[in-house]
Amino acid sequence: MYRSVLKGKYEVIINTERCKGCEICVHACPQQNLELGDDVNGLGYHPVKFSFHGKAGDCTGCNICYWVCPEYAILGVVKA
Amino acid sequence: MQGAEAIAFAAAESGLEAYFGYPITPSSEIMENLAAIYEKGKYGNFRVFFQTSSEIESINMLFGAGASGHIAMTATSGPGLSLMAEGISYSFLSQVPFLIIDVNRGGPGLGNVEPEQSDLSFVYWSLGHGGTRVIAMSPFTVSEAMTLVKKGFELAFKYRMPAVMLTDGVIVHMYENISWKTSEPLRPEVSWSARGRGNGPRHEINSIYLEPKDLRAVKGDLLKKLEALKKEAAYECYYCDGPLDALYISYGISARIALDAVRDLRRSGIRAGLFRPITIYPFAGEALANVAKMAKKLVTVEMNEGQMAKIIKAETGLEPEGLGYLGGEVPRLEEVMEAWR
Amino acid sequence: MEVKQLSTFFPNAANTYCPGCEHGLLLKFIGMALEELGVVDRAVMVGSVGCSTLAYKFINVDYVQAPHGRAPSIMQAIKLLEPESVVFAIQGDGDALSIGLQELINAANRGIPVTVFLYNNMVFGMTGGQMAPTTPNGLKTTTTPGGIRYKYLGPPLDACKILSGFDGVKYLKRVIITPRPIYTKDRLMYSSKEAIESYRAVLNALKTQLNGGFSFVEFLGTCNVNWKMTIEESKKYVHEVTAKMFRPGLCRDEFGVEK
Ligand SMILES: Cc1ncc(C[n+]2csc(CCOP(=O)(O)OP(=O)(O)O)c2C)c(N)n1
Ligand code: SF4
Ligand code: SF4
Ligand code: SF4
Repeated sequence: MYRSVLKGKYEVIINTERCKGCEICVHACPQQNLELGDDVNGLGYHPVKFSFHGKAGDCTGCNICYWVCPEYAILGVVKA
Repeated sequence: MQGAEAIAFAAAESGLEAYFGYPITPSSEIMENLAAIYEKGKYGNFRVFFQTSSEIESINMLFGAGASGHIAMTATSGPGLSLMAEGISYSFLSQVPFLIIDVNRGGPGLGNVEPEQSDLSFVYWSLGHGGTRVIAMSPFTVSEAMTLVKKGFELAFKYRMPAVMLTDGVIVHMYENISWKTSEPLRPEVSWSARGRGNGPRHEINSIYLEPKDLRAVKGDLLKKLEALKKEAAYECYYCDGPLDALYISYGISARIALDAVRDLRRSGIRAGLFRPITIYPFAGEALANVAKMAKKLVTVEMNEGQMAKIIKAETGLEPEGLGYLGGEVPRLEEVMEAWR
Repeated sequence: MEVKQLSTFFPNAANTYCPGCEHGLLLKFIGMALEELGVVDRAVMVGSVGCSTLAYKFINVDYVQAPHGRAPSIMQAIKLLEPESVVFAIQGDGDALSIGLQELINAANRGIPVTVFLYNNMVFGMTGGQMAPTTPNGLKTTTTPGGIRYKYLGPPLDACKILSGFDGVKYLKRVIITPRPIYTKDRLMYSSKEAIESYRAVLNALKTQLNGGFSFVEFLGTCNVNWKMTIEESKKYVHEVTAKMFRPGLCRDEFGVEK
């Protein structure tokens, strides 16, 4: 109960070291669950951060972000 | 057997797996003979015979065949060889083995289809860009052409680099008795090749090293390899066991005439000798320098403007006098004999 | 929670394309498709020369780097000698249609089962944005600062039109790989339809090869850096300009792999 409130049904797994902060997934996510964070990765970019609860709703596991990421930084969407 | 037929036969016997070629006189008979052998299907290893759309395609198919660890060759002539220079350069740095038979014609450009030895500089000094080197050999009989085909495959795979047999229309069209010992086809070690990684590690056949230190390291390794290759230098020396009035230096078809001249001179009491490099690269410079010490005079005989003489200067510091025949003319015996003086 | 990474890519490597460039997307789809078809162990990538060269740092399958334009020749030789291998190349439009056109059309005519993925970004990307044989009127390049004059240079070369003339080609398709920008009331979105369709095309092309046919897919993509556009502008350009000039669609599917 507690877990599902904090997390959500789905989780997007990101290899932040591959992300180039192109923001394609950020725009593509219908729920606005993804945004660029403040950290800087080894490539010198601000990698994307996933939040279970987006501005427009919870992650629905739709996989759109997985499909559009050109860097294979989004490794997959799994059931949380 | 005719030269072209013998070369084709030797290649098939040695375990040739693929021939890729684009016709050009005077090399085409080698291709045609291989087509006939392929058609008969007697050699199980010989799986691919392919007439390409250009020498650019030939060299890249050779590159693909070599990169996947297969024994492959082509035969061509100067104009085709120049088109292949790009692919040969990639092969040198990527360490891809194969054999090219260059049947030298009169050049440059269309020139004529008579024999010349004018591709020598091109082949010896680089045959590509960026510091490319290739193994180069030159036979002077049909039988020797056959053994050099096999040797070419062996050296190419042993050192993982392109090998070139430099020959000409005389050898390729000449009929001669041959001797050939049938042996098992070659099975080079090719665990490095790229043909799908299977259960093993990945293999990369590449010539890109974006970091200067990486390229420097690889080129350093290649230079070491070329150093090791030196021990493969092969030559023959005729009448080299004592003081000489003149030492002739000649290779390939020219060496046949030079040898006749030397024999005739010996008969008339002149102490002439002949040094004949069989491998042009690596060049048997040390051996030549030793023999040259005993000679009053050095004379090169070749069918170009003196390309071998320049190589000798670079390899040994010696400066031989030169007889050069241009335009598709073979050396004239009387002139060669006269040159001892 | 962990996900199993694709074994086709080095786990700790990042590819070296510019941010947002679909070169990376295409490579990712190839990796996915090889895995889905269970042919990773038999795969040989032949690298062409252009930005796709950079794939060697990322893709974990056997790899042979070709000279500029010559990948089809190398692929055919490997396939002839290693019939069990799955051989493919990613070629740029300069590589395939300028310097390598002869190699490409001869390969297409022969129909030896290999696969060419053409990444058409309408410029020479790697060398800094010079004119390509596909550059449209209106796109300024470093060698055509005043735009293209067709009268002098001819209209852009259409790869699918050329290749449709060869019976050896068993699968021929042009797709847009660039996610389409969608403008809602309050924000920009990107569609994933193109990506999924591109992945299917990769899969079908490789299936065609496995069935013994030559396959070719052209992907319309961006090079925002050399087009001197933002990522968003370049994506819009593909959908508004490129796709009007190079019509996407299936030209041939001889073995019915799309069904
Ligand atoms: C023989 C030769 N000529 C020129 C080049 C330089 N060069 C490298 S990549 C390239 C063009 C690449 O453009 P394209 O094929 O469209 O690929 P992109 O980088 O746009 O993906 C050129 C001209 C080369 N490497 N080799
Ligand atoms: S799976 Fe769908 S909803 Fe979840 S983050 Fe990705 S795009 Fe957004
Ligand atoms: S699409 Fe990929 S690379 Fe681009 S911001 Fe998202 S995770 Fe990062
Ligand atoms: S130069 Fe152009 S084609 Fe190459 S990676 Fe960058 S954006 Fe992509």
